[in-house]
Amino acid sequence: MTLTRIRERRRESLYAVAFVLPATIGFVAFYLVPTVRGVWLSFTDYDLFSAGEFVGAENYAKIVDDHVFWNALLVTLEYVVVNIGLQTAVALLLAVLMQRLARSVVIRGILLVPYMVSGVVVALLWQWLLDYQIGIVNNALDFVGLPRQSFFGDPALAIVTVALINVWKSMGYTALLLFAGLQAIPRDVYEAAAIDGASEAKQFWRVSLPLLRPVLALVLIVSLIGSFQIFDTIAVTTKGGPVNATRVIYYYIYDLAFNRYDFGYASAIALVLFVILLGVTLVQLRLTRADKSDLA
Amino acid sequence: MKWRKGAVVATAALAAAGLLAGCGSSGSDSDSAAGGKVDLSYWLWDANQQPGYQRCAEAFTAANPNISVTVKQYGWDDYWSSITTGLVSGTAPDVFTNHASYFPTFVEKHQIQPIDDEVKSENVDLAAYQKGLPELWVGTDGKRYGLPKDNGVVGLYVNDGLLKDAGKSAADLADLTWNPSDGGTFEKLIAHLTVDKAGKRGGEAGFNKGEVAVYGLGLNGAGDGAGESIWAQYALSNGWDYYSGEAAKPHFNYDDPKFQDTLTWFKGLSDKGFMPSLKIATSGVGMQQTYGAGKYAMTTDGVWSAKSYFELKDVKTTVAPLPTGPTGRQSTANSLGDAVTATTKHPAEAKKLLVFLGSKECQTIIGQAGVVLPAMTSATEDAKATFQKSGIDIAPFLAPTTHTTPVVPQWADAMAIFQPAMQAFLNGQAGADSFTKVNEQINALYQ
Repeated sequence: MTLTRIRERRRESLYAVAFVLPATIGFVAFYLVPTVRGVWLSFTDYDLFSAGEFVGAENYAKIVDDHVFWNALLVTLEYVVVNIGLQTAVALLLAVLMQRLARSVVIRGILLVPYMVSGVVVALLWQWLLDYQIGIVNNALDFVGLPRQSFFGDPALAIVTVALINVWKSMGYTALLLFAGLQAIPRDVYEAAAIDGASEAKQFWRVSLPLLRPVLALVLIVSLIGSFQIFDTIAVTTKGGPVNATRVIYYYIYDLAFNRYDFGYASAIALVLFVILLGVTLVQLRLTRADKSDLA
Repeated sequence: MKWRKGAVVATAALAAAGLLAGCGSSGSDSDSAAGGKVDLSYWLWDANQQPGYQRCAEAFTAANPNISVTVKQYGWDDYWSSITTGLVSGTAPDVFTNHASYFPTFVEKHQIQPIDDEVKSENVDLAAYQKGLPELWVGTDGKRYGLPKDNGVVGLYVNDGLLKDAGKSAADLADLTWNPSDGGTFEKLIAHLTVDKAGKRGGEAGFNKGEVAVYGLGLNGAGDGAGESIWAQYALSNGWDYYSGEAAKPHFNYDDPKFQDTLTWFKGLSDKGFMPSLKIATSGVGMQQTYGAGKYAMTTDGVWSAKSYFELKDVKTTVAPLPTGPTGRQSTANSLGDAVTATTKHPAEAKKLLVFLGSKECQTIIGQAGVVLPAMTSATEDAKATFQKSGIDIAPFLAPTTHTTPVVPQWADAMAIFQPAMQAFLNGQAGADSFTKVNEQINALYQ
């Protein structure tokens, strides 16, 4: 290697460091430090106002007997299954429709509108639409002779309602990601399939879906983590009720930390959630082989 | 190439500076020391009350030219997390409106400052306030932290149109009676004001409780352990009280049959179709909006909401006193009070402001603003006159004997036990006797 090349290399890496530095500072200040601090807090009785004292694994022992925590975990899972399952299915359908039928940019744009609206506004909007007595949805049900439903007040319906609201909000965005994945599949594969006599449905199952797998895996992982973090819709509409029917894990953590000032215990639960999410993501990566494409 | 390097360094420096600026900005500790001028920040959550307190702040500055006050309003949902994080990060206001349910915790955690010395030096007359209200702001350590500002009592809001449709008039509302076994004339009125889809009234033969068009009485959720404006007025007028013993170490009485009988009657209203079930009432928008849409003939609500009711476009409202129970006509009373934060850089000026906001001068301004009832007895007449101008007769709110709502330590922990239990009870998942166990769990917090 010549001297000039070495110099050039050195200069290049200097630039690289300079460009990466702002993001690194952000990562350290807003992710790494809080995470390490959170781990420490989970072993203390920190109450926000006074420095906490080390209490060992006491907070973690408390989790074992905390039926509200286990219920929160269950409710969160219920939410994630309904939310992600439906959202992915609907988004996939929309993505295929966008690719095969709706070439209009306007229509593609409209699908994204709910995603652009803030979560709180979406929650307020549906709170009015779904109101038992004066909401337009229940009035429509009543008009066609179906019984009114207390979407937010019925323990059996509340979490499903919240999940569906977020399907409505996010499906356009998910569909757009999947649509981009579909666009990346070469035309000639479809042409070959068509020549072989494959129907539209067969092309979807045999060509689109397998080749979309890496994108689908990425979308699943990203939206799954986001789904576990459900908070805003619940903070606006049900506040964890009725009873504990929508007390999802994030809302429980928030309630413990900011209403009851039990930061140490809240940190311990947050850490348990972190470990669960890490496990889910690893399993998902394995199962979906997200780093490998079948397009080779 | 040189300029590029410069740009990179500048970008990195800017980013770093941004980070530092983000951490260092602050709302309260403006550079006020310059020239002996002090700028205090004051926070409140009720937008309706902001104009009144803005005027009080101006009056305070007029009397103390070297102290200016910036009044800021945040909605209830953001308010408490802003106060809490502000106290930790040092960006909390100097003075803020406090709520009785948060007060004991702030005292316990030493986040607000006692004002006993100022009360003494400024000769504050505690007897000038409505009975019971000044005691709300004495901490479990015996020190005073605030002064009462309003008198939060409860009354009956009645939809005038629906009342007339039922062939009743305001005169029929004046002397309602209540008891936990058959609900007295109050329940008869609720039933009569309830109308099903076919037009049958509650209590009439053929009334369909599954298809109610207008409920006689609205329901504002399950509420917390104070039951303020929801069930407390009935339980209190049944001879019940929240707790016995001292506020620092209360023994709650949710196991008392007087409480449980009252709740059984209360839920019975839903079962009979005269009041929405909790499922219906909490599925969507709030009680006031539903009342405004003509779906509730009556509601029980605080005087602090009077303005909202009378501003409704499609509904004309009459106010009536709460019914008289076995032990008289009783209402909860609550009062907001101010607090001086532990983090303030100007404690003397902040305490001066607090005392002024509870003084006769500010109470008179609040009375004239006609949004809430002032806590000071002498300012009540001003408020009456202002409310009267907007067509609101607030005399019915002053009819009951009052009980202050509980101000005890660990309220949030107690409520984490109580609230799900109350929701389960109103949803029919548990009986009224389930509160005996709830009571044991809550009292265990104070052992």
